[in-house]
Amino acid sequence: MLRDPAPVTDVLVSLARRDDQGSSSAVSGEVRVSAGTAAVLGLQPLKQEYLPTTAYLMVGERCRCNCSFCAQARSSSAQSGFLSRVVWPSFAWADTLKAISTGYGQGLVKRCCLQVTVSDGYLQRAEELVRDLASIEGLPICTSIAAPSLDAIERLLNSGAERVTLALDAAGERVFHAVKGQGWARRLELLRQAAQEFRGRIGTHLIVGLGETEREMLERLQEMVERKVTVGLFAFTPVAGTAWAAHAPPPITVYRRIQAAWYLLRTQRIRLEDMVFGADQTVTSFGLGRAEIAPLLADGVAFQTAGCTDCNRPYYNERPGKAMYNYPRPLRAEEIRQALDEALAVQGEAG
Amino acid sequence: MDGDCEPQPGQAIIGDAPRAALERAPAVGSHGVGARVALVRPSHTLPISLTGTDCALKCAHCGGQYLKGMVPIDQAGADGYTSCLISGGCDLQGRVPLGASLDRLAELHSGRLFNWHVGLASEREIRPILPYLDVVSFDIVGDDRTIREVYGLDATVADYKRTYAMLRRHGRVVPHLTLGLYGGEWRGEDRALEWLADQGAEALVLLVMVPTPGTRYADCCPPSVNSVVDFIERAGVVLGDVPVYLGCMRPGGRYRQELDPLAIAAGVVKIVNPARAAVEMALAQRLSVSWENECCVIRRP
Repeated sequence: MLRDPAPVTDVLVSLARRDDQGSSSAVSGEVRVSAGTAAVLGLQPLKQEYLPTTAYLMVGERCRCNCSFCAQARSSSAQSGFLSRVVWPSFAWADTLKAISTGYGQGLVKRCCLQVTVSDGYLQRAEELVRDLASIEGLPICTSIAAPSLDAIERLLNSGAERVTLALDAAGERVFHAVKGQGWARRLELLRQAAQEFRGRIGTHLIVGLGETEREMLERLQEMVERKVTVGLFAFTPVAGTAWAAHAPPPITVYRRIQAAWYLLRTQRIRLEDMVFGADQTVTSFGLGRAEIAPLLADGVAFQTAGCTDCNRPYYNERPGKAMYNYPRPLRAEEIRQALDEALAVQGEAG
Repeated sequence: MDGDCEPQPGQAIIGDAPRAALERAPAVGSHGVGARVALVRPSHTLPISLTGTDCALKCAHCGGQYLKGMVPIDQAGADGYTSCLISGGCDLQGRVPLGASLDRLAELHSGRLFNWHVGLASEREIRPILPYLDVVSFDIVGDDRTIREVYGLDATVADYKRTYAMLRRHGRVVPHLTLGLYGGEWRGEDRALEWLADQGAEALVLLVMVPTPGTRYADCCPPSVNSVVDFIERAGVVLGDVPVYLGCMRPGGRYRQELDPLAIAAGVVKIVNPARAAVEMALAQRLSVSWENECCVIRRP
């Protein structure tokens, strides 16, 4: 599975060094725009029930990293225009920037998110795009990037990013090693340092269903709550052409338990240490009875897409008509009932 | 619970009185080494609603929200459960429609114990359920204004006293008292304690108002941990040998982490879904710990 023995961070540092020389001119070249975003911004039509409230852009060429789940991975044979199950057509940057400016002015999108792959010049390119986007007054900008250092993160923040996201993806070292390769300790340490240095301006991504236990995932989520790190929570989604194309996504009950527990943890309704886990480290009790938990989850917010404000990423993990791991909108009453049943399937406690 | 309810940085979370209670606890007669405390995870009691999620009263602290975690009677299958909590929404007079679904209740009762929420029931309404009534969990209130404003009922403390006495003539009744029911404020809890001391009780279950999303009290704060611990100590003095339990309805998270160990130190002998801190304290103080897995008022021979 592990094709590259070099630690990820080393690759990142060497790639970043190539960025040292370069101009700061920006309004040139192309950028990939998620199909939903392109539809919202009027760049191309798309028939889709739910549209994004954030403009999602993908920057960079085929990634130097080799994450088993990722369509952009070095060894992936997925079409290059994909990330997860979303297609990202290319547009001229000047046109895209103009469309985002207009769309933000009209309230069609409320935030812009850059997904940056690790390829030549990626740091500098990201900074340029952030600077251009920062010319749109008030637009919150998030940059998801495998930054190699605190310095690089600071440059992005100083360029106008509201938040920089360093994706852990894996809940812990064992899973990181199996799915992403070497470099867990340094990635985690950088995230922790960044969270301390730039408190409230750092995010991460975590993916449920990469082989972690529920307890491992919740311990990592709890740590992120304490460090004020914003988490974009994902369900593993198999993509054709990737190393993990034949792996199954997590059962919906597992994902719902994680969503419910994480929501209760971050709203300080429960504490991780009061939860009870079974022998296989699955949640067997949230530490409160079923009748007490249901009202806390009854607005359905726990099951909506979580992460940055106004980030709803519709269909990123979901196939239309199939399980909605993350709801891109408020849930309907019937959907809340079902999600509650799924989340509480482990316990039937009264009081 | 909103962040607003959190103590400010530097502010003591645990006041002197409860801290003293914690420190002297091992020396107190009922809580010396070997004293008993029951810890409850009620995973074998199925909560059932006779009205689904319907409730006409929509009280300030609940708003019908707590019915959402119960199983509607027409969908209830109780395989694997050894007892049921029979609850439901109220009509505008504070009555749960007890007579509904008697056939289904009879089936479910076979081999199981039932703990009932009956509300302000009349003697006539109680009679049909007597064959299925093992214990009643009865909410008591010590303040007319709380009854009017929180429950929205045209009733008085006297009605609650009468109903409590009537129910006790028919079976086991365990009174429940919610501390801070009036939007987190103390109102009438001590009076309720007095009339319980007067009328007698086999046990008292204390609950703490939980600010719940979707209710009128969503933005209220529960009474302070200190004041709850003080009340538990007072209850022990006023009620003498009546055992005091800490029931399921109380805030979770940090509040529970702070309250639970102090509650045991202050004298509660049973605690539902205890915070880990309380479990560790009970073990560290070498109390005799037992675990139960049904509603805290369910009694097994």
